[in-house]
Order: sequence, then structure tokens, then C-alpha cells
Amino acid sequence: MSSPQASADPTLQRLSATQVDWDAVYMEQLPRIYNYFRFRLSTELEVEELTSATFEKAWRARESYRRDLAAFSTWLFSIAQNLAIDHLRQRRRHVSLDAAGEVVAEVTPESEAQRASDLARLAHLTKDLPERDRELIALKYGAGLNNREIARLTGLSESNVGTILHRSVQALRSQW
Amino acid sequence: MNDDFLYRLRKEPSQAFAARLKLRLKLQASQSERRRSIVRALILSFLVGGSALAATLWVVEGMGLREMRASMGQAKDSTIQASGTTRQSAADSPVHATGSPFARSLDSHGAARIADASITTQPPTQPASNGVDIQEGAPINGSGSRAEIVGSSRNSVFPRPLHVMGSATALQLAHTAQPKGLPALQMDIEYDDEAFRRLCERFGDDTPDVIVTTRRMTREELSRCKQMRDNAILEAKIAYAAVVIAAAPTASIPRLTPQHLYLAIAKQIPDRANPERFIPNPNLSWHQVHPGYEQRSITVFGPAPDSSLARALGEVVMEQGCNTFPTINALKTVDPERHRRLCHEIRDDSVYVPIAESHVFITQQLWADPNAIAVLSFALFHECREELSSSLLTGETATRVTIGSGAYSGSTPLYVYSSEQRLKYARGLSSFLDDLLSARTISPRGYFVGTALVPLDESQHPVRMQQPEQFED
Repeated sequence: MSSPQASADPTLQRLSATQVDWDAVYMEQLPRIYNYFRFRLSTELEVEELTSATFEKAWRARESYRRDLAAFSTWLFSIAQNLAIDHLRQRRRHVSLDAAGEVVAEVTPESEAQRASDLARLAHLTKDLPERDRELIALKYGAGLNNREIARLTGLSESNVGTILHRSVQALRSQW
Repeated sequence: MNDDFLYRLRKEPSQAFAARLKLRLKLQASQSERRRSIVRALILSFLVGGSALAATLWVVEGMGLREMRASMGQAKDSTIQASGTTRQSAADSPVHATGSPFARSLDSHGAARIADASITTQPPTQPASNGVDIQEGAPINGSGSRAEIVGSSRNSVFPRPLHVMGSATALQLAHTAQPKGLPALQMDIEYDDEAFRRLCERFGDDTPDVIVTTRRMTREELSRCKQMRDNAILEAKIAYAAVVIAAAPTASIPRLTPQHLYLAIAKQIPDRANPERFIPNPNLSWHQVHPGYEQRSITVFGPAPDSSLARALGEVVMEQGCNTFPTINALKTVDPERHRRLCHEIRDDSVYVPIAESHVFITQQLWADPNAIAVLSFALFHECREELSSSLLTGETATRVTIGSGAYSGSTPLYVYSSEQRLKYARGLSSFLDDLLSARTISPRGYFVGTALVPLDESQHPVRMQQPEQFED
């Protein structure tokens, strides 16, 4: 899958605050939310559960969404982040992708298996990273958000986001 | 390992999962619609039931009132009879006084109480509301009546809202400054010319009680006003509205005229080929705005379009720019609404990015994007001036001195006007003006915080309403 950095909500830009094309939003945002959770959680089941919960929550609260306050993706990712935090807190252990090896068993094509294997290895390596750094990796490479969007979501400055990500990737590369 | 490698770890969710989730969302939608219908039905039934109950109570109460009046009439008759009887009886023998309670009380307190007893049976007189003796439309005597109005108006129910007219920026302040206990405000946004004209119309419900303008009344307007009215116009300068355009300190953005800023961020601009026609703003680079500028993309961070700062941007800067086009300027008198729309409406594509007005946020955004400029309140610009370029509008840079002297092109003074006649007749107006001009409103820590308004210098305090002749031109 190629870099998904084009995240300026082009679908939404054509729409006013009250008109949100939910079909288009669903098609565009589903893979991003799904992959965000893949980078954060252990099993496919959890990933699908929290992806569903995010969209259901957004759908229920869709009338309270105000475009003038935040981009739609920012709003959606705020929901996803809160769900992920709650979920990880409930499990009482902070994991990123440490059990992602389970995913391997659920896919059959070779390429998928290779990808899952890499993901599992990444999970193993990110275990030692701080929680914040793992969250940034999930937002950047899982959800495909750019640094500016991540800064908006996390409250960090854009430059800080870039620095942390650069440092994290360097650390992972050295251990790969 | 690099970015591409990490991105390649992503995968599409399975078709089955996507379809399942979509179905769940659709089901949820239909369920919520059903729930909404039930809630609507419940609310409707409560409303109908409540109305029926209210009507029943009203009828029952009306019947009760009639019965009460009837019984009071009887009581009155009997009291009068009793009074007569007891007077006579008292003269003869108090021991025989019987009948009504009033007559009975007479027995113990003597004939002197009879009159009191009779008075209490009279229908109760309507008390003056909270001791206020000012009636709607009745003038209050003398010039010292202001204090009376303040005291009495605060405790009374105001018969009508105060009519405030003027620029949107200033009205925002009037709205914010309105404390509890003052009358409601009816706000009308009008251009200064129209506001002055309306203030000077003959006294009536449609004429404004107060106007807040971005310029002083001219001598001509004042004399016209005096011809129409027989009382003095009162004036006070309350603040300045100022908007600053800035960039990162290292950015090489050229200085901008109000016209260029207008061409960069307005929603619609005149078509170059046919200036009579207005088209959605096609400018994406500064070079398109003016051939002298570099080929840099336009990115403007600014306030949300419905914020007071955005209104100030429209009134103070964009309007200057749009009025340089004769086709738009001509609309000001012919079609003011369209003129306002063309001059004040900000584009809603990705060129103009509404952001929260925060020190850290804005400076970071500008630092990250050297092409970007930001629209700020003067207060914020002043706060983070070390991390910003100087103001980008052509002419003098934005400082308290240049704003106060009128040299900075992104600012304008704000004036409040009313009249002595209005002060006499409009209840609550005096209190409202006192509050608007009080230190708690216009001081640097007052209601100006977070708005586009800049307080006057300490030397210009206290602010009082005076007749315009007492000001220097």
C-alpha cells in the first residue's frame, strides 16, 4: 500500500458543515482507522471491534460534529484515540503490537503473511518504546496522518512530532 | 527500514468486515430514527397534555376568581353594614356588637379601629413595581435624573430592549459587556453612515438608542442631527479595533496592501476581465494576486469566520481593500447587504485555514510553514511579537502608538453615540452606557480580552459621554 499522506479530507472540502457524505467518508476513513488500531492493538478481533465502535460512535454523534471547529478526520481520530486509551487501560497493560503474531495465522496469501510477520517484528521492537512514541507511530504509519494532523491530535508541536518519529524510526532501524 | 517500509505494513480491512460494519451503521441509523420518532411523539403529547392542563387550570382559576370577587363584594357590604352597626353599637353598648370579624375586632379595640377595618376590605391597590415611579414614555425630570434611572431601572422589568446599532465588531463588545440586571439588547448591524442617519431620525421605536461606529460623526451630520432633534448628541471614544497580519520571523513575505489581502482571502472577487462580475476567488498564489509577488502559495491562518476577530478583519482591513474596486464601492449605497457580503466573506477552501487563536499554536504553524501568514488580534501579536515578523500591512507597523494615532492601517477607533433625549426616555440606557464605559469593560483586563479590541491609553480614561463640540476635530 502506498503512502496515504493525502489526508486533507478532499471529500469533505466540497461539503458544507451539515452535509457530510457518509458513504464517501466511510470509504476514505475506514482503512485509516482500521490500520491505526492494527498498529496499536494485538488481535484482529480487537482491531475490528474498536474500528466498529469508532464509526458507530461517530455516526451516533454525527449531528454534533462541527466542521468549523475541526476537520472530520481529526474528529474521528479523537474518538478512535479515546477508545484505544480506554481499551488499553481496561486491559491494564500497555501493549502496542506485541501479540500481532496472531494476525499471521489469520491470513493465507504469502505477501500478507510476510506483511504480518513484519508487523509482528515491529510490534516486538516497539515494546520498549514509550507509549507516546508508539501512539505517534500508529498515527503516522497506521492511520497515515501527516505531522500537522498528528500535532493537532496529540497536542504536541508539529516539529516535536517530526523529531520523535525520526528518533523512533532510527531506533527501530538499528534493531531491525 | 524507512517510511515506505512502514507504510507497506498497512492493509485494507477485509471486504466482509467493511460490509458488516456498514450494515450495522445502517441498522443503527434506522433505530435512532425510530427512537427519535418516539421522543418526538412523547414531547408532542407532553405539550398537548401540558396545554390542556394549563387551559383547565386557567378556567378553574377564573371561576375561583369570580367566586372570590363575589364573596369579597359580600364581605365589603357586610363590613360596611358592620361598621355602621358597630359605630352605633359602640355608642350604645360594645357588648352587643356581633357579626363580621371586623365588628368583632372592634369589640376589643374600640371605635377608632373601625375605619382601618373598613379600609382593609377594599380591593388591594396595585403596588408600584419595586417602588419605581417612572412610567414608559414619561420623561424624568432634570439632568440629575441619570442616577435615578440607574437605581430604579436596575430593579424594574424593562418594557423593551435597548436598540443598539453599529459595526459588528463593536456590537460584539456591547453584547459581551451586558451584565445581568440590564435590559436586553436589540442589535442591528449597519454601516456608520446609516447608523448616524438613523440616530438623528425623529424619536421613535425604530430609531436606535445607542450607535457604535468606526468613525466620528462629521460636522455636517451633527448639524443635520440638530435640525431634526432638539437635544444634544453625546459621544465617547471607547476603544480601537485592530487586526494584525504577521508571519514567521524568517519568512520572506512581502508587505501587503489591504487590497492584496482582500484578493487573497475574500470568497468572491471581481473578475479581472469584467469587473462587474464577481467570481469565486481563483487566487492560489501571491503571484496571481499581484504580478510583483513571488510564485508562493497563499496560506492564511486566521480566526473562524463567525468570530469577532474575523468580523473585525472584514470591517477594518478587507473593506478597505474591496472599496478600492469601484464596482464594489458603488454597491455600498445601492445594495449594502451585497456590499457587506462581498467585502467581508472569507473564502472557505484550503487557502484560508481557521485556527484557534493561541500563542503556541499560531507560532508553531507559522514556523512550520514559511509561506503562511496569520491574522491575529493585536493583543496576541503583542504577546508573541518576539516569535513573529512585524505586521505585514503596508504603512506603519502595529504598535499602541500607531493604533492610537490612526497611523496603522489595520485599526480603527470605535465611538459610542446616544442623545440626552434617549437617556431620558429609554429605561436602562443610562445603566448600560455606564457599564459599557466603565473600567471593568474598557480596561486591559476587561471585556476586551480575547477580542479584536484594543483599550484606550490610561491617559484617555475615564471615558464619559460628552457633546461632540467638546472634542477636538
